[in-house]
Amino acid sequence: MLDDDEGFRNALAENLRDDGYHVIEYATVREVPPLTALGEVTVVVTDYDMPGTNGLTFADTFHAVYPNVPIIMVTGVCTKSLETQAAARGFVSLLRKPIQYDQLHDLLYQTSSLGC
Amino acid sequence: MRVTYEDLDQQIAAAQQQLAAVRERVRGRTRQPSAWGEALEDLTKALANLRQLAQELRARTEELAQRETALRDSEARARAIVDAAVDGIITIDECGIIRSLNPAAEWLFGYAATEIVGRDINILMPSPWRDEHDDFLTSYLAGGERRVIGIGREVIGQRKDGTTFPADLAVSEVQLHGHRLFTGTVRDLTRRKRAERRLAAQYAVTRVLAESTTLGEAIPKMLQCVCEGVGWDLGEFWRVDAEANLLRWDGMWDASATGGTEFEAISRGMTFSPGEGLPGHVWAANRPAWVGDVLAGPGFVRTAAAAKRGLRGTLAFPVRTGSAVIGVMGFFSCEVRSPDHDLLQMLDALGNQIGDFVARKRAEEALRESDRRFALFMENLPGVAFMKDTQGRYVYVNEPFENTFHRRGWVGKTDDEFWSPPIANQFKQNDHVVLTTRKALQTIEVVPHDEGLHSWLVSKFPILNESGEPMMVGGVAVDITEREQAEGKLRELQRLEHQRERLADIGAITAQIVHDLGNPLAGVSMQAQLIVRRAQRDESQPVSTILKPMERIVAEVYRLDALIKEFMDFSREQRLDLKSMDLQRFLHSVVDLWEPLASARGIELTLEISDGLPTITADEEKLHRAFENLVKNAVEAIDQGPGRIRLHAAAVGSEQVRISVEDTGPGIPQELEVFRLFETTKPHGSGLGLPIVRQIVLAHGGGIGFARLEPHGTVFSIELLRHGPAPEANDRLARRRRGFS
Repeated sequence: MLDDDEGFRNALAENLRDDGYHVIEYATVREVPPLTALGEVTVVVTDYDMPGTNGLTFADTFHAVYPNVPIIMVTGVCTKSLETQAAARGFVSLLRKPIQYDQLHDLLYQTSSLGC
Repeated sequence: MRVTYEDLDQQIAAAQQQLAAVRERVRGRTRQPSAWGEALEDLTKALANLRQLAQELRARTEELAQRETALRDSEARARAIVDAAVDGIITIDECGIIRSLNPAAEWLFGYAATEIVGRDINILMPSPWRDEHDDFLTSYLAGGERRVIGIGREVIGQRKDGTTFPADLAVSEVQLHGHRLFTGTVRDLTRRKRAERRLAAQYAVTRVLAESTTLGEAIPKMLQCVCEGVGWDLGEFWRVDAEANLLRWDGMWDASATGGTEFEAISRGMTFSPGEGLPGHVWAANRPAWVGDVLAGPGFVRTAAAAKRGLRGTLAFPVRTGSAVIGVMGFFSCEVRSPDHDLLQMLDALGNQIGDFVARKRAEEALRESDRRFALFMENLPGVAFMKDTQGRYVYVNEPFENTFHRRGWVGKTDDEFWSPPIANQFKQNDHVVLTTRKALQTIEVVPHDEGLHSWLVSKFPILNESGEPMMVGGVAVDITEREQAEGKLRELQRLEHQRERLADIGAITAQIVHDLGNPLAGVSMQAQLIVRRAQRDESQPVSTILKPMERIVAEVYRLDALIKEFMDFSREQRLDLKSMDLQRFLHSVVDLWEPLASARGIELTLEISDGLPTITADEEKLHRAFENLVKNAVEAIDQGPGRIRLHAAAVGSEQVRISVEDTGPGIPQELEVFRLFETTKPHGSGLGLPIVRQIVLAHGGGIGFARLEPHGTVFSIELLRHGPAPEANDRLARRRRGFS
């Protein structure tokens, strides 16, 4: 999970942990270790607007290494351009802040291997 | 034998005695009358008669002798008079032949009497009179009209050497022994004529001086007058150049030259030092000088050119004003001339006269030049100028003045005759102030013209006489109406620009706020969902599991609240509640508020107030927010001590105060534009703090700036106007007055 807003990130992570997920939190893309060292990843939740590399760029980099891992991108400001770019990739689902936890949870199930 | 009257008388007397003796003898012989007796008586009587006749004859003769002597004396006297006469006296007969002439006439005509007596009078006359004279005489003798005789006239005489001279001739006619003689008295008029010509020259020069307006115009005319008057051929004027201590050529008149001669060309470029050449000599000696022949003597500089022009005699004399020589006038003649004392004396006097004129003309020209410059200056002023006497009458107005107010004929009139009472009184009051204080006054006067009230920025000043009494009020003024309007428009434009900027800022803020508020809100929402879910999952679970998200919610809400407040601060119009405030007390209150927090972090917070800090007019609440922001920034910059924050306040001039906030923090990154919206180095900074501070300071008409300190640290300086910002509808006049004083 990537988000520079600690309050949001932490609360979302706690919610997921309550549901039994193992969540690793990063404030920025820079904090993320080399992707090859990440080990098994089921799903990525990332903010779009972060200091340094933005969520979409990270998504592309990540997808190259983990082509089958879905990416859920949350954003405070959702522009038409961002929607188009996310949709064009096919592997990015866009959610707009503030988000309903249940909605995110459903999306996790739909897109990831969890639902299988 | 020569018989005298005495001899005759004696002989007659002897004859009478002999006769008497004869008679006695005869009478003694005879008492009787006789023929003898009678004869003797007759003889006695005859002798007595004879003697009487002889005596009479003698008396006659003596009388005649006396008369002859008297006549001789008279003739001698007359001769002496004629011979000694200054006038020439010539006698001619009916045929015009000279019969006599006196020494004066000999001298006058250069003939000796011996060589001219017996010759025709016409030899003493030049043509055409020479040929006409015989006819005149003939026609006169034939009963014709009188031309000269008894009348007298001016004629021209011709000397033996052929030269001529003016003469006054008077002719009288005498009849002698049946012949008619004519006596002519000839008086040489040369001297008188010369004196007359010189006097005329002097008059002419005087007239030239009186009629000329400039020196340049007068000089050649004067030279001409003198030349023509004294019969010289060329005149020149040399001006003293006091600065260079040289004589400079300043004009020439040449009787014969039609164009410029070589002599003129050479002279034109010449200068003479004192003592150099004839002009320099005259200048140095301050005395007229005469050179009979320039070709003969040394010391004349332009000999060759003078010779070419045919000049021989020359004289020069100083042109003086008082005792100072201001120029030298020189004259040349084509003849060799011997010194003429009278002429020199006359020219010397003329030199003084010309000198006074030259000095006066120079003064006049200087004055005219000064006047001309003054006028030029005045006419080209970008405003109006005027002078009024102490009675308020206009003495002078410049052209722009007349053009601006569309009226003419100001001089001699007062403001009352042109303006309505309130306008005129305004002028008069200001004039009065200037006259009574004797000091210049700058003010604004309102003048109605061109369909409107115009504001004139006027500077009035007293014009004092030599004893320091005010004689006049002078003034220059410029119309500042348009400038004021332009200033008003500029201010309006600035206000609009500022408003536009603010609107743009607010637009940016709105966009930013969505992000800035959106994120914390998303966080709050997620925390809340966490709490709700945990509560739903297990109602009995311990509070500790929801305490952390709840604390976070509270913190986030505070943060949101602060953000919103800042946004409100920024977007709100900065309407100031201006009051007089004690800056020292105010800064103490700011320091007191932050001191606990600062010291808790190990930061030393100090306040220094320089002497003479005035009270200022400001909105205390707004200023408080500004300084709170600055101090808060400083504290957050240092974060953890040791560190130091120093507030310092001091007066700047009489109208401003400066307050600085200095910290020993890490300093502001070079690339950061601190006053730009949303620029921040803080993780949760809004980037609104310094823009708000700036806005508050600008609203107060002040200024803000910052500097990076070495080795690290930052100082923010705020300057505020002591009397607060100039209100929009401020009294501009008052502000201007402040500016002038």
